[in-house]
Amino acid sequence: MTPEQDFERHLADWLTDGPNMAPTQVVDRALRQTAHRRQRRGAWRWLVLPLERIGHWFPTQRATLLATLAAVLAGVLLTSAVITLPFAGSPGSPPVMDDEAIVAIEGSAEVDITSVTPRQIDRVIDIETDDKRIEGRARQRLTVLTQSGDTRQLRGAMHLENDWGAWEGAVDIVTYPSGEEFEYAALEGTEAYQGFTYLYTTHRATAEAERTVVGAIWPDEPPSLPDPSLLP
Amino acid sequence: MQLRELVERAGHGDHDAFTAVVRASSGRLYAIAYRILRDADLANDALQETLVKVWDDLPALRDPDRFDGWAARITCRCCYRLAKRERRFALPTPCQPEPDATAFVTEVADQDEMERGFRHLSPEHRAVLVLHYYLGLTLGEIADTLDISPGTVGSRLHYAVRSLRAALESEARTAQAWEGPA
Repeated sequence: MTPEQDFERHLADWLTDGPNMAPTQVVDRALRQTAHRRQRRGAWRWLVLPLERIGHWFPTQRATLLATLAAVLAGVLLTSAVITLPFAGSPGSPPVMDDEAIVAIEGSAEVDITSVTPRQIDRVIDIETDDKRIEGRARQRLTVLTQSGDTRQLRGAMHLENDWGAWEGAVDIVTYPSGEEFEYAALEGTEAYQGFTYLYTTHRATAEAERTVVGAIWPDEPPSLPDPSLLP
Repeated sequence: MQLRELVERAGHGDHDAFTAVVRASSGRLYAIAYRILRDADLANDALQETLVKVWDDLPALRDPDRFDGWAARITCRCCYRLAKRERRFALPTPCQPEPDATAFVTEVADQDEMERGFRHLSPEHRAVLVLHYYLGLTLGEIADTLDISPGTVGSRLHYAVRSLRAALESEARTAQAWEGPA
């Protein structure tokens, strides 16, 4: 066996070593997410048949027709872009960041704990709101600040990223024995969200209850919030 | 029920069929994502995004027999996107293979060295290595899967292997320098 073959065999062996089973919670989450979601169908189907027919025509006719079709499509896309411009975060267009307005955010969140060690808890949070700037998956890395019985205060870093930028900052969480949980963070925007703050709060009434998201985006730096560890 | 039939039914909006398709194929897709990204959290994200996109776009899949390759392509694209977005995935400057990089690394690299060397590669180069050396696909099958030309597959594979070997050799030299002259 040549050194090259030996190396390739070793590479193949090394790649074989690793997980082959998908994590159940990820699969289940994806199935939940798609259960009531509409598939993409219909919108472009009408193009398929004409294009297949065009394929049998002479090249010059085909080129003329495709050019006409492209021009019509470009017109339609341009028109729809102009129409959708005022709506923040419409797919394919950058979000509109209003320098004047404070925008209220409402929605829901689903939390998964991805790892727990005696010193650290990692969570991912799927946030759904009607504002595309806030939608996406957030990550938190938390440490326990105080624990008294089953009441705990946690603090850590939070990072929420989506297509146009990210929100990041410190997050504080209080959980009670009943399962009730409060969470808040003043997150600074980056990239398209630069110069804006997203005040993120969530509340869950019991361990089984849905987690509601309430907050606001405003065009300024984060406020100075009291340090929860200093509160009585 | 055969996978083909399940894929067809899922493409018509049958979520139970989609669930069966996901149960049958998610292990393979996760294995691909994990091996490209080398990070369990990122691989989880890639798998979830892939499965949602598969559901969204299944009506557009014309030939259900091509489902495996089509889903693998979506997985690779999700991996590229996540890798580029993820700040932790700091891509270092690719190792430039030396012109005579064919006659070295005769000793088998250990696992950590291989891991570090692999992380020097771009996601696109990793994907080609994973599809070829892990899934055992031919260059033509990889070209079909990734929707790129066979020539591009060949050059990516060649570059990836040479870069990986160059990175390992560089590590070996550094280690030797630290150990000092014998």
